[in-house]
Amino acid sequence: MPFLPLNRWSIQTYFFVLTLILPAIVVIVFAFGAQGETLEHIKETILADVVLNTLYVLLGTVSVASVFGIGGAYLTTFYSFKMDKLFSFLLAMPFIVPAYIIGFIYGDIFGFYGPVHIFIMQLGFKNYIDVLNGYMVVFIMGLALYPYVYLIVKASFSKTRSTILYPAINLGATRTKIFFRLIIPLSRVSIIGALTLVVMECISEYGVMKFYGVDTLSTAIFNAWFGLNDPQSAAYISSIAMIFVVSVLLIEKAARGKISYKSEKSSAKIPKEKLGFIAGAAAYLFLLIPITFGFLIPFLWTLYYSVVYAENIIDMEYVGVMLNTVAVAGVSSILIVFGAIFVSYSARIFPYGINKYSGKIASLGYALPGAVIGVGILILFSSIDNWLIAKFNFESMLIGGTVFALIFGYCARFFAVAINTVDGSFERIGITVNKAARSLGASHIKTLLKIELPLMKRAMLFAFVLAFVDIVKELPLTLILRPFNYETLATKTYEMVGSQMMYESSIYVLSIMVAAFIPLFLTILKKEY
Amino acid sequence: MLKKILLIAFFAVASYSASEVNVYSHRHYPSDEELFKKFTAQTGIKINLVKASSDELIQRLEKEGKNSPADVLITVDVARLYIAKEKGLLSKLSSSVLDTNVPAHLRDKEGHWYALTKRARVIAYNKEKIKPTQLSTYEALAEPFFRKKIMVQSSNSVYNQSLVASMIVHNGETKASAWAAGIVKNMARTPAGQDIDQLRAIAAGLGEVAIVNTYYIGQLMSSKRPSDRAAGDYIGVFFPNQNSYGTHINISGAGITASSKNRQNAQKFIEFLTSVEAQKVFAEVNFEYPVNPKVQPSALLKSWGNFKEDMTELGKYGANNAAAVKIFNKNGWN
Repeated sequence: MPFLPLNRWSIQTYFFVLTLILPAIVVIVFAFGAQGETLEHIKETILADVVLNTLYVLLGTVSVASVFGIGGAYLTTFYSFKMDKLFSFLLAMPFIVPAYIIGFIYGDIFGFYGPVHIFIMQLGFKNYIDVLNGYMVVFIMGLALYPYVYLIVKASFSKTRSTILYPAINLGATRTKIFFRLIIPLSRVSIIGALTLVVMECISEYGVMKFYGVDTLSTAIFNAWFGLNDPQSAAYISSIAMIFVVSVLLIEKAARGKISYKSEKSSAKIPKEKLGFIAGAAAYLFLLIPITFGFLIPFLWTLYYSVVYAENIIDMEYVGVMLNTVAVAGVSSILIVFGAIFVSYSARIFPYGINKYSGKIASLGYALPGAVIGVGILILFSSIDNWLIAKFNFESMLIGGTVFALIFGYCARFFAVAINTVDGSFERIGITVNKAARSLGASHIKTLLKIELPLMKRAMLFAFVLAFVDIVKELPLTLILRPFNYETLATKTYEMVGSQMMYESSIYVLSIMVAAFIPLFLTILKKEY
Repeated sequence: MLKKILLIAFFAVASYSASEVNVYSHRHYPSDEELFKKFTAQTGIKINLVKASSDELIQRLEKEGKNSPADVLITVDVARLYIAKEKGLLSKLSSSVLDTNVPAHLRDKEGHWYALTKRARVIAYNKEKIKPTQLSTYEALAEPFFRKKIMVQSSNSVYNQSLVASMIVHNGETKASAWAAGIVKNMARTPAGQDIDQLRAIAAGLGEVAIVNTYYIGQLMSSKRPSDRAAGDYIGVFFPNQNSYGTHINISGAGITASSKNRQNAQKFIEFLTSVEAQKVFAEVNFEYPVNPKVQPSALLKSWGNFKEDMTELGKYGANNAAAVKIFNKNGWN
């Protein structure tokens, strides 16, 4: 099998993937010829610490996200208890709150002179703990990111069929044994896929790390680039972040490679087991932790301040901001989903050499901080613009500083979110369908459009929603690439992040939640995604 | 054909006419936008705005190069203005209005940038635990007396970078580094949060002194939230180094970009921002010190008293910015 298969599909795929990762490549190429001295300084001073910190934060976050994500998915899929539908729904809700918002809100609520501290002082206690620390980072990132695991793994759990589990139950295997020996291994592709997203989000997070004073690879990139004014060293650190991600992606691909999924629509779903009183109470307690801290508290905080500080906020400007956000996120997410289908399908029909990994390669942009991808796009688009201006004598830039640049940025950054879901869906359909259609003489494209896509409607919708919600929440990339006078809900909340206006801008935070909630709600209504 | 398409795209995209000024700004206060509206009402010149952090805006200006649509760059730290000038992104401006409105030490010698507002980086202290007589200079904060008592932001803060750059200017790199090491030893916690979080912490008794910008103290003391005002009651303000080189100040400032195609309007805009009318808004709403000598600071700032400010040429902080960051990294000031 060739390492670099060359045919119409694969060549188009390479072109597409290359375009998506060009901003990341540009940053790194741009950085060649690293200045030895600054790089040496970074290696001697902060590098070891930031690599270790990044590892700690990743381990912690992945653990928290796994416990709540897998635990939540397991309890709501295999057991029935009062209000289980409501709980399945609420468990997904932290997804609509951006991590940096959860971070700021907890800094406010639990910080000095926040409501909790005031309450404790009123009780007569003098001492109070400082919450701006690394443990809180893990807690916050875990809360913000476990919904990826929950949503993706629940989709996989709910496809577990009775033909697989009944024999084990009949042979007297305990629930614990079934969970660890059957359910988890059967869904390991989804679990690892979801955790890959968690790892990438976590590596690229800047706002939370900065606020809570934890230096990771992401903050070190800013230190090198802007503080030391050395893009070369910044690129060096970026490439370390990339190595982290490539390792995780390789693990994921390996896990996926060994398993072949077949849909068994004919066999019945496993009936849910009723939880007893004590087990039920324990389940409630367990599920209430992520729901309360990941969603209810941030939501109520935002709602409270939105009401308290609402001063003729809902005006034409607000409507414009809402429309900007929804339109750009909508268009970008549609492009992302179709791009992901194209790349995934190409790898499906030509699973050789590098083409097999094209989806993973295209995901790399997800692991770099948004601002870094943003600078890559600036370099790219400005070069094109300046060339066009020199060549055709235009008076000003054509693509830089336009909505187009922004949409491209979102696609480059959030492709990873969609490819995961689309890959998974293709694998569940199985390759037999494809081969049958092909052997009957259908072209690749016809097979895709007539046979496979109709089977993937839910996965497509789900991928769309994941990308949409992420884009609505996105901040750093939007800040650096946006056109003049262009505000989204997230840039409006920037006033909250950057200055001390967090209470005044909470209506925009609330709006982010609402804009993200609606598509998520519609997806969950469809039950299976 | 390609040319045709591009031309159409051009007319669809390019909407920057001569009666506009395109601004890249790091300032993000609602009062700024009110000011911009006032400027438009008075002159008919429309302000187009992109807000992001100075570092990112400088990247954008640099990459866009001579075709950048931006006319004005506004930052909240002098080192960023210096860096923009060094990269050739700002252009010279001579204006008698600006020379009158902005004192000499608050503008670039060659007219590449002008301060809009001032902020002093002062020592805030918990009045129950520290007496002002125990405070003297920034340098003294590194002494053992302040062990586990200091609260300060992380080294990502441009204000800390400029403060240490000023230490380098006054005391040399070796002493500045020793000072940073002493501060790290004296920190009450690993740096985290923003300036206002340091203030709340010393009010609560975690640490006793905080190195912060003045307007954060103003914001805390006049917050809409009763709990913040309660915290503010504990806070005293001390202007250090009154018997030596003076209290460190930083500026928010503006310059016309090298690529500007609306220079005249851009100049009018910067002149407007330094006018008495605009300076009053900066002073009253954001608790910044006005740069225009004709305008008084807000009543709250006045209540802290006058102070001797460090008159060092501000551009020098920019020249020493990278050296300052290295000092932070070397001494484990995260």
